Amino acid sequence: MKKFYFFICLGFYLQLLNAQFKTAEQIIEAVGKKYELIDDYIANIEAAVDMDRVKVPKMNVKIYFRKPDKFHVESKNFAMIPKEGVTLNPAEILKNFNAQLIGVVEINSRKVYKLKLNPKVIQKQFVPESYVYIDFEYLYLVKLESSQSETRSIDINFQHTFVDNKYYLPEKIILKFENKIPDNLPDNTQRPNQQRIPRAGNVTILYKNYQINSGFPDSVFTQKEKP
Amino acid sequence: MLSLIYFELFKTFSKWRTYIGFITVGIIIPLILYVVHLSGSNFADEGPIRSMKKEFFIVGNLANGWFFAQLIMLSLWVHIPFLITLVAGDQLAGEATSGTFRFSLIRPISRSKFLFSKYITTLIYTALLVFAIALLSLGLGLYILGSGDLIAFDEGSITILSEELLFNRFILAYLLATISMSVVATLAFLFSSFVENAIGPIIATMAILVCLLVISNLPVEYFNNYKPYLFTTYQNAWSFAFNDVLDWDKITKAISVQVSTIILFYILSLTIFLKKDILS
Repeated sequence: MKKFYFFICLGFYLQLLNAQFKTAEQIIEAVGKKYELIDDYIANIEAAVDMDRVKVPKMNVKIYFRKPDKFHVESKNFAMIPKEGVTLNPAEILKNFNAQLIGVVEINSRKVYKLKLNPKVIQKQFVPESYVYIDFEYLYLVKLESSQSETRSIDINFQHTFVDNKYYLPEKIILKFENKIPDNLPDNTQRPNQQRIPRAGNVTILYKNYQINSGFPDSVFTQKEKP
Repeated sequence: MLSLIYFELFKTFSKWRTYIGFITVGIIIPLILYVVHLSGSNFADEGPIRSMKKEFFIVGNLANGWFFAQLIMLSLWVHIPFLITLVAGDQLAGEATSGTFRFSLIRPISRSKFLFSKYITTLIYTALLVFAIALLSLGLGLYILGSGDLIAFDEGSITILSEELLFNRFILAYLLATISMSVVATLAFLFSSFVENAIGPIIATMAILVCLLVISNLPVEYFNNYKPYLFTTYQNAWSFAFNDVLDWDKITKAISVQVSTIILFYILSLTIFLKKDILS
């Protein structure tokens, strides 16, 4: 048994030695450099929500992004788009988190770096635990696991596409919200039904028609929604 | 028969009290709409939507005319029934009070036809009041607050209905509301056949309505066996029109119970009226 563990550790160590990057910071900086090429983008997204206590038809919205963190969602109809995932800018991760390289693992038969993110500023008693998985070869975000509170966690899986033969950008994001407390616990029932946020479920987002570096006006981010 | 109904309609709409309901909704609905318009889009952001904003970008005009019309329909629990009893409770008792019963029945018509024409008039008034509410709340609401998808709350869950579904859904909701209000009108009409003063039927109808509403909504197991047979259990049947998928079994059951109650109340009214010794 000891031998088995020894070989596993050895394999893990050798993989790390073989890796292109030795620290989490190097990896994130490399990812950031890839995204530096993108000043802004517009995309149409189709989102489907499948969550407890929420019934929403498929949503079609237009999103505008400008680095570092400007984001605008435009829709004629009602839309609820998860903030996590769609607003995530890998280039900005190091601003808010200290990253630690855990190792190289496999997701969907692809090698990925697993990094642990520790928030630089802890605002609450609960310290959120987050892990990001970055593709070993192409350095794009593959997965994010985050516990937002003691009871709530979110998993985000990214599928990327090669846009304009230059940029790896998400073409599909699947967000999975989980709640660890069952519905029947007294703590939860104390809150009126209507004030509870939707609990568990999935949100699937499909990105289409990327327009990268189109230089749209900044006023997009300041305009108010028309009634 | 048609001329009899026309005559009853003419009599009913010649009375000042018939317009109290229309004037009330004509003042209240624009007033609420004005307040809602002043408060901006925040009024739809309460409860679950506010908590969802922590995790989601919420876009779209939720504080729209459809949502406003749905809010106004909450008054169908108690407020609108009261306005309906003002006219329905006066249909027979009013004739007795003013001493015109014998004069009306001198004509060569049967008592049952006379009662039926009065009853149809009551139902027409009820439908017109619901139609006025629909017209005012939807018309003004959509004009001032605009259109969009509808957010419907149902036992803590949120349903978003696409704008293109809403016209048909609201027609269904107002039809169901008209049936619910017709039950109340028939109850007031029944009480109206007992007495010679309109105040009694109004008070009795409202008292019974409130009592049965309490029983229908009280989470007590003892009442569970009775609830399916109470018309008040289906007082909010209009809200079934805003479910994600229309549950026709639930809608049919609600309509069946309410129509059965209407028939029962009408037969009782007829029985009482046919045996009534008319002295005024």
